[in-house]
Amino acid sequence: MTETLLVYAIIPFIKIAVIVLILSGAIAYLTLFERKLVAHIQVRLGPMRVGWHGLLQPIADGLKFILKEDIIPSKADALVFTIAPAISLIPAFVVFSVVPFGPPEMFEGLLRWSLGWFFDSATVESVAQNTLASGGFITDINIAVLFVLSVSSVGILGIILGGWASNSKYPLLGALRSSAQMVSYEVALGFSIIGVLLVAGSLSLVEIVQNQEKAHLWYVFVQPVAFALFFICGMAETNRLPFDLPEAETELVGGFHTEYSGFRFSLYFLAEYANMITISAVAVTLFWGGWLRPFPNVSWLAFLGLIPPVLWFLIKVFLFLYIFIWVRGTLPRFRFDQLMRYGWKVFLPVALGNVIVSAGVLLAFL
Amino acid sequence: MSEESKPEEVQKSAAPSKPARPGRPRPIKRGPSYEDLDDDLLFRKLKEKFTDGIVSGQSFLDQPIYTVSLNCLYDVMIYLKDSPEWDFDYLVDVTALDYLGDEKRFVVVYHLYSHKNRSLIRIKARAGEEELVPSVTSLWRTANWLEREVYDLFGIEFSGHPDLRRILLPEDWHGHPLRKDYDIKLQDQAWIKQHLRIRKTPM
Amino acid sequence: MEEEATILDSKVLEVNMGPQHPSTHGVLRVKLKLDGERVLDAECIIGYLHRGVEKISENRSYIKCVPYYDRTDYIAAVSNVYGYLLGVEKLMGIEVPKRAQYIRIMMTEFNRISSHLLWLATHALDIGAMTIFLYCFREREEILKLFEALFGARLTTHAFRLGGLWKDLPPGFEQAARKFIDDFPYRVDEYEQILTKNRIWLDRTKGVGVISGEEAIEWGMSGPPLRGSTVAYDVRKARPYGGYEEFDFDIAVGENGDTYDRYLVRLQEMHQSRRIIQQVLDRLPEGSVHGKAPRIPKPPVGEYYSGIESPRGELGYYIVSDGSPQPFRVRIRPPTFVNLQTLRRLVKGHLVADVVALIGTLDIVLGEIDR
Repeated sequence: MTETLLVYAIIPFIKIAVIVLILSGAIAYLTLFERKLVAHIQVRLGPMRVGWHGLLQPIADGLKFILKEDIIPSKADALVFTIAPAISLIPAFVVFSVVPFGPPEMFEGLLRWSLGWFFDSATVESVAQNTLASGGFITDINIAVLFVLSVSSVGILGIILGGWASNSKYPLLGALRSSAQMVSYEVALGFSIIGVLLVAGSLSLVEIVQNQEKAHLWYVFVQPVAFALFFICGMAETNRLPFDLPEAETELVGGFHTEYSGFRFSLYFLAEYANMITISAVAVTLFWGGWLRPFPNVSWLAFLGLIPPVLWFLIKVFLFLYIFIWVRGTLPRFRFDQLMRYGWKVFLPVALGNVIVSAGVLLAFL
Repeated sequence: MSEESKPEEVQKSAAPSKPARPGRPRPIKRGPSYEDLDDDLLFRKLKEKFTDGIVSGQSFLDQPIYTVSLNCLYDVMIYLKDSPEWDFDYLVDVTALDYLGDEKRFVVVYHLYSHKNRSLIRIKARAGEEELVPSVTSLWRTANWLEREVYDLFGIEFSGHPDLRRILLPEDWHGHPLRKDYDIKLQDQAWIKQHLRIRKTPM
Repeated sequence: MEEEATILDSKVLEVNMGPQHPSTHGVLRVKLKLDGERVLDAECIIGYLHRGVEKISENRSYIKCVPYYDRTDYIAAVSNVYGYLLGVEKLMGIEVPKRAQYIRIMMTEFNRISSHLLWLATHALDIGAMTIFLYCFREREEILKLFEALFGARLTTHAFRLGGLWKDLPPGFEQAARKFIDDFPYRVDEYEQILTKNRIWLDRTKGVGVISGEEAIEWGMSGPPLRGSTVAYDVRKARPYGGYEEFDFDIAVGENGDTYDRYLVRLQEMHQSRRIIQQVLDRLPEGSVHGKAPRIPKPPVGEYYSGIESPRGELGYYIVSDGSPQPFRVRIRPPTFVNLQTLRRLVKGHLVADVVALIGTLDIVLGEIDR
């Protein structure tokens, strides 16, 4: 009984709380990181006043957002207008419930030590053996990839609803763009993942990483095309430059969030960054070996194993975030018909071709 | 110099001196002056073709000025634009001058440029307050906004203009500011009161 | 304007772009009629910044109205004052000393570079390339520092005086100017690296807002938008003024008349301006910079159209004098007022995102359009 309670309620709850806290902090500091990095790309300094080199800036920003007046336009659909930002933000967090950030036995030692204070050794042992409790993930479900795809698409719904509920022209255009954009990249995104699934033979993200470990090969080297597609479409999914068409402040004055202010606006703002982290984490898991260190089978690089797997995961995610921001500092914005054209005429055929070629090669040689 | 007296002063001094009509008794101390264009090829051609329609041809600082009567202005413009010899394909500017007190107070001024011949000329036509000036929008599309501006600021109406509305000032503004009898301090107080909710603009 | 039948019989969406909009470069208001994102019609509504500069000029003396022209096209204040003063000097027969002429040309060309830099910065920002914005401002800052050293002001400079300059070049100015023009080509290369061959930039600008040379002339366009459409018309070459005939430079001309060509033309013009500045610095004569100008100018009865090539196109001052100390009429022929007229023609059939690119490519300054 205590065992069930521990494995299915208390430990997951603690994990969720810690992850939500860390993720919120990460999102806040990701905004600062972006501002500093873009600033240095653009030969300026970025935030310098709040704290040492602007380190307290995210806190100041958060306070500002909370203290600002929250305006609901009189002609807006108040209910939808209110919940839309939350719809946008929550999926980004939910996706993290299936993304593994460490190996299945990650917390084994920690659990043995901490639970040993309160429970008898049999309970401790069985809890520590259970990967659900000791694994470096909240849960490991066998349809995790589908879960990620479906939940992350819900986030776009928040943008469409928010734009529609504002009952204003620019947000409406932003919402329309967002829906048009979603149709054009989501298909290619799905097909690009199928390549990985064919190689991995599993839909569980934990197993995908474990299979990469067994194969001694990260899937990016097997499926480079799929990775490129996934990354580009992922960028479109996060609504960042060069695909930030739904907000496009120089065209649509902020697009879907034109009418939002204060805390509700900050939810949209955070959702964008949360999505960035999510997409990076999923990309790392699917293609870059998740928590695995580079070259696990090269003996003289064994010292890399000194760095714990979680850190490897974080380093990889961080590199992806860096690329996200780097791209933003470099490229102009697409036009939405161009994005549609690329989505349907380039990405989708290439993704389909990739699936067919992968399947053919697998059938023929393996 | 008191601000109030200025516009009148300008009007007074403006009225007797008409650059379009040389020979007025006004002493010129130094500097350039108007010269008659008798041996100018374009002037002779125009005179030949339109005879009385061409009032005068002069040049000032080597810039030729052709004064045309209002009723053949449009024909002159067609000739200047369409004849391959002159080919004035670029309408640089349309503007007006207000000689308050004259029988025909306005002078509409056109600057034309020919990319082929690299020549810039000025066409002038006198127009009374009630007279309609033929629009040249059908010849040069540029004229659309330029004529709207002249209409807005001078109140000169153009016949045949596709969309003659005010352009710089609000559509329900009263008065035409660049007329000489429109004092610089004068404003449409009613409009300001209604739209900007200012009781009275400071004088 | 005709309105096409729309898909599913949906209504035409009317959107007001501006007067407060991040990329209408001021207070331009464009009334867009949209079918989805496609533009059926666009009507420009201007006049939000009308200050009646022409009316004010009629009530000020010839010298006192100069600062007002700084404030028409505030991005190219030096050019504006230059055009007006050339006109008044012509009317009065004032000789400008050679050194003053050369310095005027140099500063006007610096102004052209700074204006084009600002244009490139905002145009790229409109299309979403944020970094180039700050790169351009880095160089523009250097030019503004030069302005401050010579004129005492950065933006509304009141650059020149009747008959010459306010004062001679301050010490160290020539070195600073030389340093700038030596570095400048490498800086432009940086911009080109980011944009010229960028796939997205090409997609966004090539084939957008195409206008042929004949049509551009018919619409009265001038400046880079006209030259982008293959017409090599530059007032500096067509009717040289103020000593421009003594300098070597080429007219940059585009091939297709689209937004990309107008971008290339402006980049090329920056290089040409640099060439002119180089020549001025090499050949700068000694001597006074003050011409003989009366304290209260009273030009004789007459009129003069002084057209110059401002960074935005043909800027004309039609000055009519009645012999009094105040101009009888100063007509400013604003290049962007005329160029903006073509927006309606250019945007038709394009998308909302292109409207922004096209407003940018015309390089408008509302202070000049509304005057």
